[in-house]
Amino acid sequence: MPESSRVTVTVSFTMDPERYSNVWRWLRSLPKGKKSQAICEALDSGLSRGGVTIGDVYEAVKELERKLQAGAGLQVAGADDGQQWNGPTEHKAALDDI
Amino acid sequence: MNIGLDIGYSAVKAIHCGDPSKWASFPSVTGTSQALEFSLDEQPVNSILLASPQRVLVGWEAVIQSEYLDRREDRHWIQGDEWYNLFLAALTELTTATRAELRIVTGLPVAFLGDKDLVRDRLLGEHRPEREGRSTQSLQVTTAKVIPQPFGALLSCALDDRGHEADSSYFTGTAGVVDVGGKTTNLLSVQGLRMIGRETASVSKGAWDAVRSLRKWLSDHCPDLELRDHQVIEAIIARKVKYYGEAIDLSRPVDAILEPFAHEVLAAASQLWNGAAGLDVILVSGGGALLLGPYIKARFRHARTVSNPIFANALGFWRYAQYLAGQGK
Repeated sequence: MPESSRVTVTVSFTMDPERYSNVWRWLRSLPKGKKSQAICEALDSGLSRGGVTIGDVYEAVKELERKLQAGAGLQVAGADDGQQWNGPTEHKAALDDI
Repeated sequence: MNIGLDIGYSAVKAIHCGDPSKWASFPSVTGTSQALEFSLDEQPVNSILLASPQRVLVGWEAVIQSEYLDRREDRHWIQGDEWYNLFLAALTELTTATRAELRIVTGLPVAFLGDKDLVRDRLLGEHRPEREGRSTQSLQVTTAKVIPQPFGALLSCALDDRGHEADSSYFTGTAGVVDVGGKTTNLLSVQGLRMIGRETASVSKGAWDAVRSLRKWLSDHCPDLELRDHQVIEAIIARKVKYYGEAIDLSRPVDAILEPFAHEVLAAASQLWNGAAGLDVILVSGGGALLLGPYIKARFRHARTVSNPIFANALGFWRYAQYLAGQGK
């Protein structure tokens, strides 16, 4: 496809430069006229890699937690261990005899 | 998970924590599970439909929907399928865990305590219930303790939710318990939480006897009314029933039915406890406490209905399970 017939779109986005300081540094380091291409290649690389990020894992864990709280899926309940007797020994003996 | 389980002839009550909103209770009824032809809900919120090991509806939904019902009142029901299905239904009400280890305390009527090994053996081991729409559960009962039923009400007062001593007077004093169940009324006498055998007995009268009597009255006075047993119980408690849209006051027939029932229980208690003046307190518990409580309190001034009498036994069983857990038992 000839260069002149390409249709492009402009995408703007916002970011927190402190939270993503490494991304911010990288964006500022890109040469003028090459920024869009570099960003597209970086995004394309990240998407096509199909890799699992720590964010994905965190989301999956939170989703599992939500499901468990809703009563679905795998759940394992162990035996409750209880607590040591707080009263007199003779009272404990009465309970043991029941 | 520690569980207090009270499988009565009238209702099943099961507790695994101190939060009443999480306690389970349903009528001791199982029935056929034919599919509904029309329902606005896919499955009613309170329905208990076991898919396996047997496909049965349990509880209120069975009372309302099932074409055929199973409801037994004989001593040997603990060996039958209905009892086992009620047990499984109770566990599935308490937990959705696919795997769990359970410590269970339950009770038997005083007169049937000889069957406690049968009950314990049925409870122990692995159970694999499947509720409709859920995964099969593997529930391993590692400890099962069977104690006299009315001890539940007593322990609900003596222990707290941690299985700790809540009221030392029950450990040192004397107490009587009148536990009014569906088929039997248990009378228990203890001194320092130790059962006094000669002052403990079961009276073969319970809420179901009142049901039968009221059913006879209804067949004479409201001949076109067809109610199931649990609906009759509701009518006794409410003291009214709807007949062709009209509220029928049942106060007179209910009093006429309950008074002789109460007198029989009171006579047995007076005889067993030698007038009961030597007891520090008399606790009234069980589903029938709502029916007989006023009569018992009128006769014994130191009698009191325990808080939440329907769940009192299950609550005491659970608190005792908590205690046993603390002892590593």
